[in-house]
Amino acid sequence: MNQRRNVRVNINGAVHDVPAVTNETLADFLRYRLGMVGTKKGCETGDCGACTVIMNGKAVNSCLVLAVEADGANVTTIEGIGSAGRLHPLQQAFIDHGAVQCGFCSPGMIVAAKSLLDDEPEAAAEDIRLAIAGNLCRCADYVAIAKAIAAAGKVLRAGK
Amino acid sequence: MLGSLPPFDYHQPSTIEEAFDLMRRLDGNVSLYAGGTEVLVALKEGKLKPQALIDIKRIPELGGIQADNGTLRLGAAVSTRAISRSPVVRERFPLLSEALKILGSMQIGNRATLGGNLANASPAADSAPPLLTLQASLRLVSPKGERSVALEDFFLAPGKTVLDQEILTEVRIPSAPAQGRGVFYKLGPRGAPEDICIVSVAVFVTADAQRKSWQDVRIALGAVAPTPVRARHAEAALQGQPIGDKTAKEAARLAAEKDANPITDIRGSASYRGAMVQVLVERAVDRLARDLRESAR
Amino acid sequence: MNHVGKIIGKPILRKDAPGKVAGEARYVDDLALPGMIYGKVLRSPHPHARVRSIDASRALKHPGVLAVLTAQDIPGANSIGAIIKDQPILCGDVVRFAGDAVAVVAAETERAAEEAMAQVVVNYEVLPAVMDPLKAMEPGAPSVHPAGNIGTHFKARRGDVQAALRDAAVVLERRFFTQRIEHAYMEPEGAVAAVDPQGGITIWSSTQYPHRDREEVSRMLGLPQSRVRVHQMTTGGGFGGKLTPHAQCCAALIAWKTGRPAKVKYQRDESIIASHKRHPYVMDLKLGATKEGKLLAIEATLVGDTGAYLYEGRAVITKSVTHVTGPYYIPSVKADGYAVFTHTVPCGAMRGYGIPQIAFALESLMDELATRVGLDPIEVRMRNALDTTLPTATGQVLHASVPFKEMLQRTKRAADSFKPLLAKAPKGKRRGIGVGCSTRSIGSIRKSSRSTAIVTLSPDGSVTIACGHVDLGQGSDIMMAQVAAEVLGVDVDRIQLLTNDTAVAPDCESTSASRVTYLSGNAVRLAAEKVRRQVLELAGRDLGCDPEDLRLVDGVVAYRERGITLADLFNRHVYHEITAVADFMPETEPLDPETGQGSAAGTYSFSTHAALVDVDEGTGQVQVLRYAAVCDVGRLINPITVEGQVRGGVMMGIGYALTEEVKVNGGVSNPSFATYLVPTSFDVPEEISVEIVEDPEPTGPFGAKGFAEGTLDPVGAAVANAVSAAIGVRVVRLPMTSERVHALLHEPSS
Repeated sequence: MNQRRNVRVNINGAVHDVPAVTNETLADFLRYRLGMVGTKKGCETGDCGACTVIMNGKAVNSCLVLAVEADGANVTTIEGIGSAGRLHPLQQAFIDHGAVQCGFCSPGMIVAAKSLLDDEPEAAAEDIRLAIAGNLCRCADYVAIAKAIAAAGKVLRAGK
Repeated sequence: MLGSLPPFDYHQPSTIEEAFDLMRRLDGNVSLYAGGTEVLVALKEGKLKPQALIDIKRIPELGGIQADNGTLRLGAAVSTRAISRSPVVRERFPLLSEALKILGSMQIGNRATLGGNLANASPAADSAPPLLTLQASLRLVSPKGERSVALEDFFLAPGKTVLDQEILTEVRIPSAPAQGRGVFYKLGPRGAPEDICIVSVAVFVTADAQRKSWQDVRIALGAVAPTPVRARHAEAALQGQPIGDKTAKEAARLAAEKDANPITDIRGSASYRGAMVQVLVERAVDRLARDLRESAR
Repeated sequence: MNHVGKIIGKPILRKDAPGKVAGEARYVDDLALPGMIYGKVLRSPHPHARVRSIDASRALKHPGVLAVLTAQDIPGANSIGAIIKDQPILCGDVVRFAGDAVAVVAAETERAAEEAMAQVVVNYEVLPAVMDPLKAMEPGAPSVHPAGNIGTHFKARRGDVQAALRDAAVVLERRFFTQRIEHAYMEPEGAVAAVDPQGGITIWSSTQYPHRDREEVSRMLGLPQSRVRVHQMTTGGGFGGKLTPHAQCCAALIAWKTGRPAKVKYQRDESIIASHKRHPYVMDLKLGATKEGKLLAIEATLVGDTGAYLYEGRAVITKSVTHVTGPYYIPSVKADGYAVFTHTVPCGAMRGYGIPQIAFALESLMDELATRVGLDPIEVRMRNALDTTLPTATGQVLHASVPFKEMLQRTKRAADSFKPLLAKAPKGKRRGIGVGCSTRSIGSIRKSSRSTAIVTLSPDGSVTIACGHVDLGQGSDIMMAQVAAEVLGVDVDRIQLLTNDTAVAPDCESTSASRVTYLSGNAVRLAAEKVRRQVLELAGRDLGCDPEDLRLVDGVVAYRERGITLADLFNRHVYHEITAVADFMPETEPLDPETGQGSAAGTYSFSTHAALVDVDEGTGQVQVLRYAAVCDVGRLINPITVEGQVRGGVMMGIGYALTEEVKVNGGVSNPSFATYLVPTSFDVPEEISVEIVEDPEPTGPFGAKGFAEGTLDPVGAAVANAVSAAIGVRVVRLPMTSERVHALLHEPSS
């Protein structure tokens, strides 16, 4: 059993055509097959949000997606949002608002926020609260995180 | 204990016939798979060991949100968040839209399907109480044909439904009275949408033309019985009664005493759950009464 | 120094943040070594059992399996523990909680290790277990360890408490309960280990204390500490939970036995089941006071459930007893703290370390006292507040940096600002305001504490600091850089911290006990000052002037209009760089074992908090609407990192107050984030206001002192007092779940 399958997936704009097995999560596929370890694993049960990626325009917990399901999909990971040398406004806002401490939740939190702002550029405080409700943070606080997301939303709107 | 995913075959049929064919060929040793939010966790916890997963979400008849002849047809494999955000659902069934909005986190909502939430048959399924009050029915398809089952008759016990070698393809909601209104309350241990509820209550009502008395009252309860249930005693107490405080209190008492049959678990004791049924039913009916009064002005 | 204040106190952005937000920071599970294999820990399902035999024969035949290791395979010491090493790494004869490790399975893949683990047959003889600390203290209870179930009894004695209580106009007495909670760092435990060709071993780990990892691995393998090298990877939170390097030891054992690099990481459920917790307490407090609200005496019995092992329980209970009077002067003290063994998951260090428990109990009684004597809660606290003349519970007089009264005044203003909102509670909600206060000694409690730093100035003016405490995300690296930058007149961007490698950084003890800023900050400051002095003396000789008249700025030593670059100066004196080592250990006086009297720490930090809450009359749900934290830092080094700590601590405290509880039924029965409920974006107030009070600590670096745990210490107390005020019934048990508060609302008469 345990079929091997080729997974052809567009990740952050680049197409990868890579063999995977059926019992492999998208999180593991990204992390261990492709070495894209910015996506974190905090619980494996969809409760913490650290592994959030955007698949076909929707934020999902990549620990609860099979790699084979991503065949043909477009996936955005934290690596596709910005780099340390070239930060996305969301990432910059997290730093400026003191919304980063241990940093383990940050990639998933930022991807969730990116998905929200993609869908709803005018997201209000309540929308932000709801969008990050599935992303747990234990060091910083959600107030700073929500403020960072709101501030980034403003920057992104002004840039359009 | 959590572990890696066990080995399994994975099939992604593009027609329902293909799915049935696989189910037959694999002798039933399969799990139907759509959003994965329950199945993958159960696999990692070692609670499920199928030979194969049959991913049914690309089967066309399990997709789509369609309104025809007043009936709303929701594909069983449509994500709960897509349904919640759908303009037609928001406009015609705001009760369902609001309930699904807090079914889980954004990430879970993007994957969890309506069919999965129902077929999983958790007494605490957030979609069940609103759909019960909206008198939803389910289309169950088998190789031999199909049948329509009222949602109220669908659940048998925790984790058990009437599904018998069938696939739930569609949830149908009959056209609701235009002036009907509903409310959904979910009491969780935190304020978070992803919480599994301690108690949930959905109430859907219509009033008479003068907005003086309750005409049609439907109340459903989550997490206080082996399955999500209609609160018939509470409904009967309100039906035809003048809209006012006293009846709400009495109906709420009946919901707690006659309709609910809760157990104690990690989220709450039976007695607290009972008390919360009373509180939330009364609160919901009062809120609807207030809304009706205000909109009458 | 002529540039003081240029850098200290400035909101300089931390250097680790860009890599973290970009997903480029590397945590231990992001590391893979060629040929790496995986280990899984087999754990006991029984709270108490004798291990009769372990049969690994089938498991060893499983494809991909390399080894199944048990207690017999450990070459050195089979024990582990932060302070007291009483937990077997792998249990050979007896398991003492459901989750105790009995074997570790090594295989080519995680999956193979898991499958093989299921085939290891352990023959257990199940023994009677004791799960409750009060029952464990009774005669005849099943013994967790041969010496009995009382792991520690620590005492504080001062004055004649019985007489004082007899004479007191007001005596208040209550029993309080707090729960067992989980750190819930977002990154579960993990380590990678590899044997090096010279016969040593290298560990990469998620840790709060790399040198502890080194010590434990060297003991286990019987290797000299110098042959064990530990790299701390970026660590996804600790909060006291990453002080017991069990995963590190398991990875090291596999690497040692197989010769292959090995990774061991805990799953989330495993982390919650097996890692140590915050001690649950049962606390009996009796408080005597005058009718004017002046405290006369406290009598307290604190029973902390330390679970199966004591490793930090003795120190935690000591911390509680030595802080039993809180931030108040109470003339007569009689306190008895017991760390009691049970067959439950062990308890150890967690942010707060024994203070959140006692703060909840004491602050609850302070509010009751206020009610009894008809005073405002702030006023009754003011009348008993510590200052620079009054002794703590251990008899220590803090001669400086005791801004508690000023903080109380600020908290009064915050609480007053909440008052107009009281009347605006929506229908069906009861609204209340509560305050909570606390103090804590900075650093270890039972012995003194030392940090060591090596500061190196390079000829280009850049600076390297080697100092072995690690930054877990709280921002200590930027604060250390600011301290050195201030002394050496360089930009923080030219300073590099080396903290996370035992081969280059000296042991500075753990990142814990709110100790890093105060202890390591001082060590860095002292070493930097030595470097500066040496440079200025050299330059003074060359320039023919008094070193005191020289300035060191941006790699140049300047004298009036003249200057000399460090490169020239070093070259002339044949220095390739200038290095200095310094350490800092505050003056303390050990606690007397009979009376608990002594000088526990170099300095104390204070916290005063106020909360505004709504209680839903129908459901009992509590919502924290507003929160104001006043924080005592001595001197502010970096406002961004300080405020981040405060708000994060408050958030964690709200979880302690309202929803978090590790439930034990045999083993832990809620080992997931769906059942162990930490706060989400819906559970924190919309605003957490932070006020920083600066009252410099003379022995601290630029007057700074530690504070981070204090941000959590009084949160449970403040929220409980707010809830009690709202519902008119005294809360005596945490967490205040909606069901519990609902029960209090409907109590027949209280």
